[in-house]
Amino acid sequence: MRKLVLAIMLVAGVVAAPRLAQAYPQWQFSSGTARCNQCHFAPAGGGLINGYGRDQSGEDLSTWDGNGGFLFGLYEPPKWLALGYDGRGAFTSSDVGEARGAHRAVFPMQADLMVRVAMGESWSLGVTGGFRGQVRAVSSNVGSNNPKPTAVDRLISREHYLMWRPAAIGPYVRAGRFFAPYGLRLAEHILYVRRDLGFGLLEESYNVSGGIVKNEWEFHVTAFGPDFLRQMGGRDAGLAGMFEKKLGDASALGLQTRIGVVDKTQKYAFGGFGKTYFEKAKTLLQAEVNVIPAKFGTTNSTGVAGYLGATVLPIKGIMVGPFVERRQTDIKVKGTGTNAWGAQLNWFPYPHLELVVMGRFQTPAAENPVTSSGAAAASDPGGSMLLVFMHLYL
Amino acid sequence: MHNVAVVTPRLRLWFLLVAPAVLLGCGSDTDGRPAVWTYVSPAIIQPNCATSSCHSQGVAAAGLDLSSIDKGHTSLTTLTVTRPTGQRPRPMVLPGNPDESRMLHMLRATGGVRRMPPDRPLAAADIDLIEEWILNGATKD
Repeated sequence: MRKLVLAIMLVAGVVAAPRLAQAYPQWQFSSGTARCNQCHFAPAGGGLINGYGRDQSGEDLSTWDGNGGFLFGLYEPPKWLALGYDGRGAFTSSDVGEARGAHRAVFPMQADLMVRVAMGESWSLGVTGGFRGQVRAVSSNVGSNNPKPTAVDRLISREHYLMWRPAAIGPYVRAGRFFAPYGLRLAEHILYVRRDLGFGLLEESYNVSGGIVKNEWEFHVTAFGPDFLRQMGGRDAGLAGMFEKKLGDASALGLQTRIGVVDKTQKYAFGGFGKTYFEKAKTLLQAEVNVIPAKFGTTNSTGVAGYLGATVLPIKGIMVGPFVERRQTDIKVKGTGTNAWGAQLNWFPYPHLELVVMGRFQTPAAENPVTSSGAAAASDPGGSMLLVFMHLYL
Repeated sequence: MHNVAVVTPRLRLWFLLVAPAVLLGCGSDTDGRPAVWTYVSPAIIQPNCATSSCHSQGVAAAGLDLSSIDKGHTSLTTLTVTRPTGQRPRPMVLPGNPDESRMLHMLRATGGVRRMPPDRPLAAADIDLIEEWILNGATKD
């Protein structure tokens, strides 16, 4: 398994031999794009792309040019309507040290229709919904007293919100279901984002959010609450905020905070992030650190989570790079930490199509835990994962 | 147009400062955390197990809802789950008996069971703390 991932990473390294650089909206500095919402309808980026984003997709991002419009340009919606589709299917192989070896699975990740309806110049309604993938089958063979799923069907709307935004630059307010803007806005929903920062897949909260977006800086603040319809995510409620300031044309620094309260738990997060693009090396560096103090009942604890990644844009339509992650449940206890490192290759051969290969290794901070009987338990191997998925975007 | 050459050294310094912080481990070899459910549930179980496709309230995979302190404790210590090879269903946690508690075997992938979480094992000290909680009677305190 590890040899396979290493071989893929080696191939990725060969493919990444520098030739020429092209733009990609994820890497705003390499293309001169100032803001995430230059390509996306959402004020902090992500989700359905606008006309500028579609033009970029068709002309500048893929290895071979094509029509980035909806349905490859076969149908052009009226101006008040924007449509999109996001479908992903994956193969994954995960080895977490079980006697039976690695688990492999092929599964649909998502199949979402995205709709934006403009109502005049300032108001809009955004809805993203469709099929949700689930790699684990939900067992029906459980005790009669056990909780039954409240979300038995596979249809879900991950985002639906009403937004007031007179212009792309300036203030906005939106209310509904979406992720609160926070920290680095990575394109992939990696474990660091899902587990360590608490923004799990399909765990969008219900929010009232507002902010100001400028070319030089942006600010977002969000009051959030739990998903009361499907109960898919965390049950806490609170506030989240982030500020990002551009430094010149190729760098930015940001600060973020989040406060969530539920039951007997008060959880805070304070962090900072930075990103900078090195033009000569065609490389974007991104880093983020979060300190997460919390009060669990009567116990005070301070966790930490961090990410450092580099992305090289060697040739048109390809981005590749390594990353490392660090997390620790409590900084006072060394054995609560884990490190992970990996690499990712994204290839956009043609507009609307993306192929992704990602390898991730996790190493424990402590080994050979001891059981209650005093005997050494099986050595914790950490884990490794290979993820390959195809992304179709219409 | 800003002068990029002026600002990038600052960021490079920022990265030089941040990178070690991300990679370095810190803390003591001794675990002074209390082995109580009011810590274990929100600090360890909920963020790693009560995820949308697994043991959230919405999905409750295997009939286990670990999304809150109360529901998680009930799911693990009171409710029964089906076991393989036709064995009699029983709770995941047997208070006072970590070696017979299936939850612990799943966290450590011992005894031929599937590891949980299936994508990212818990840190060793966190599993040790759960073991201590079970050994102490697995109460809801």
